[in-house]
Amino acid sequence: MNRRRFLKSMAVSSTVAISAWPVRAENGAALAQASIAPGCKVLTVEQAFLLDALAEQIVPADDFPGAKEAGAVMYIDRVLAGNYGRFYKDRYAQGLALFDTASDKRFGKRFVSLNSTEQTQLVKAMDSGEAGGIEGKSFFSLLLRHVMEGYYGDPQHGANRGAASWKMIKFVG
Amino acid sequence: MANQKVDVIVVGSGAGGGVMAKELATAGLSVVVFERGHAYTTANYNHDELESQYSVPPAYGPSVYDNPRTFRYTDREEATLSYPGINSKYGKTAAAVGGATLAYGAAAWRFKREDFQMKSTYGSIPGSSVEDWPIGYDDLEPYYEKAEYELGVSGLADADPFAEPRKKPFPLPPLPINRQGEIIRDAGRRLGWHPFPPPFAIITQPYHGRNACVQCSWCLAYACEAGAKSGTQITMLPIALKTGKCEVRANSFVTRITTDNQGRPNGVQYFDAKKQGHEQSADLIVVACSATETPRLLLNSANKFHPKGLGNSSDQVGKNLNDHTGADAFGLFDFEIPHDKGPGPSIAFNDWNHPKTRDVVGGGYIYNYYCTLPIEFASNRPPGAARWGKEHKDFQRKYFHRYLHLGSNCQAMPQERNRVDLDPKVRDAWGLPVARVTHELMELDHTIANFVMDKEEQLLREAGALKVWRGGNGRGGVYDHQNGTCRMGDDAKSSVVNRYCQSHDVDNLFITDGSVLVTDAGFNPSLTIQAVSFWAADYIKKQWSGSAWREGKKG
Repeated sequence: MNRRRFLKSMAVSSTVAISAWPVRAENGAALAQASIAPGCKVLTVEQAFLLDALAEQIVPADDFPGAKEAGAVMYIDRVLAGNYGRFYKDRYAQGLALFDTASDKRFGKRFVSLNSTEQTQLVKAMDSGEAGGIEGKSFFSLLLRHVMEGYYGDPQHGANRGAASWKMIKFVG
Repeated sequence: MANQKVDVIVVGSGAGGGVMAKELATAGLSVVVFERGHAYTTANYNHDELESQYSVPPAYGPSVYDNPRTFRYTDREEATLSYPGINSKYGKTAAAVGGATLAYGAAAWRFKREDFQMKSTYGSIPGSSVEDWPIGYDDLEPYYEKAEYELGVSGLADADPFAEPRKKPFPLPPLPINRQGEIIRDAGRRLGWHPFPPPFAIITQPYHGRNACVQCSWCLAYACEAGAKSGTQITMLPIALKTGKCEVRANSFVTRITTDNQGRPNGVQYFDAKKQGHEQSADLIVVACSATETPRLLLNSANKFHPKGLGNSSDQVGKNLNDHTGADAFGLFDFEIPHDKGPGPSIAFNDWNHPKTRDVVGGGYIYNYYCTLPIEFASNRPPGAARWGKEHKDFQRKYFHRYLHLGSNCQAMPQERNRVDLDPKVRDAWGLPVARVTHELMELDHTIANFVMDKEEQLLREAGALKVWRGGNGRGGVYDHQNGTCRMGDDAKSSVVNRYCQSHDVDNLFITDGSVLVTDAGFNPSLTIQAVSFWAADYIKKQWSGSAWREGKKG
């Protein structure tokens, strides 16, 4: 009974939404089959593709792997599927949709179909608040934090494969 | 032993509670220590930036969903919900056997004389409830010494020309100086400042059966698997347990202090790990569960004898909530500065902590910070530098070993409007009103922090930094040095406890955590909390008569 009272009180005063993970229809196209990406528990195939592209913008590959190859998406999926995923799930659903909406508006294409220069432009616009307002800016900060955590964090959390980023910065632990 | 009456209940096993348990159990009193968190073992310790005390979830509690709080800057706003690890305004303090000392940074400072006499030193401060303490450095000196010897504090006596006099040297030599320390030592000397190795409750040689620090990079926010960091779980509590007179009841959350039919405290109600309710009775209650949770417990213990909350006839419980401001500055260099030799801090300066010129109120010490870790570094960039992309990655690889971080804990001024009270709506997993934290810094707090950051930037430039920038303090919020919510004082109308940490209202209730600090200082608080706790324990032992704490034995 205490527990129920607690949850009720949370629902009243919480700023954190606890709704289910929504599946979004994009650009009036047929509802994407919400098939979960391979190896993921929460992210759909489309979301995983979009996140891969965003992660690569945040940490691009050069002589060391980028965040895509390092597995940033796997890390983010683990966060979303984990015990505290409810704090982030809706922000991801809405934030990722914002990227595609903004991309469509500016370039008439989905984010993953943009070339790298266009993607960089759009990420900059999201970062500054120009493309997605405060909501977009705030989501991008969260995404940035999670990509950096994955890329520079301990490999046991699903990203930073082969501890490549630690080799890059000569971090010996 | 479960529900048999004991002499003493200690609520909280951290800095203050751990000392009390050890002192009273070794004096022959029977003690039950209540700790809401787990008893972690070295199997739970790790070197992982994503599983630290600053992670989601915090590695050493409190458990996220069970323990919400609410936060607001001022009482003109609606407080918003906050959770451990999720919301930075929640605070960072662990809930574990050992309390915050399980994963603390272990800086072990004595306050300066002025820190106990802020009002006398600087006068009244508009907007601040600044006061003198009822006790001073000379009262606490023997207890600082006791704390240093029992914990095993490493340091170098007489190396800090601004330190107050001490009767005995540190029990252990200081941590070795690392490259960062050498750089700022030399730069500081060129500026005419006074470098010295800062004191730490980290043992540098085998001490009391424990092993010395292995100088790893994972210290602040990590539990120490070497056992060198002197948290109460490895120093005080084992000694208390060895007496056979003490039990540490982990995963046991105290929700209320009960009173007899005269209004005198006689025990506590608590929930065990399965959220089953129990009671425990005792003659004496010591509350030491942090400057946020202690006032919450007292306020949640209101009854017909104590309508405003236990020990709260003054209406001061929960007020004057205070915490340090941070003052961090960062420099980039064109030469390599390895920072893999932990814990990191190896040189400090007290030139700007109550400087004799008095050109700032209080101030803070300056030191080279704990070893920088990769994610931490990725989130710190100078203004205007890229926060992502190729440029960010290049910066990460170019400067990870060409970077120096200076830190400080600057004094902030107590304000009555900053407080902990009970949230009218939000309840925790046990159905109890949660702490509502109201906290906003005042202009002077920013002025003091900026003063210290100016000095840090000066030091970094002198050391040859190519680029220098500083951190900042937001509008408010308490982190891990919370204090002030059950002030110590001689006047029962304007303070919660007397000079011996004894409630003005009920003589068998003591508080020995950061709550009793009247003002903070430009120093980390744990050694002072522990010295005050040793001081209060001495008083209790002297007053203890036969097998019971008798009424009317007030100091």
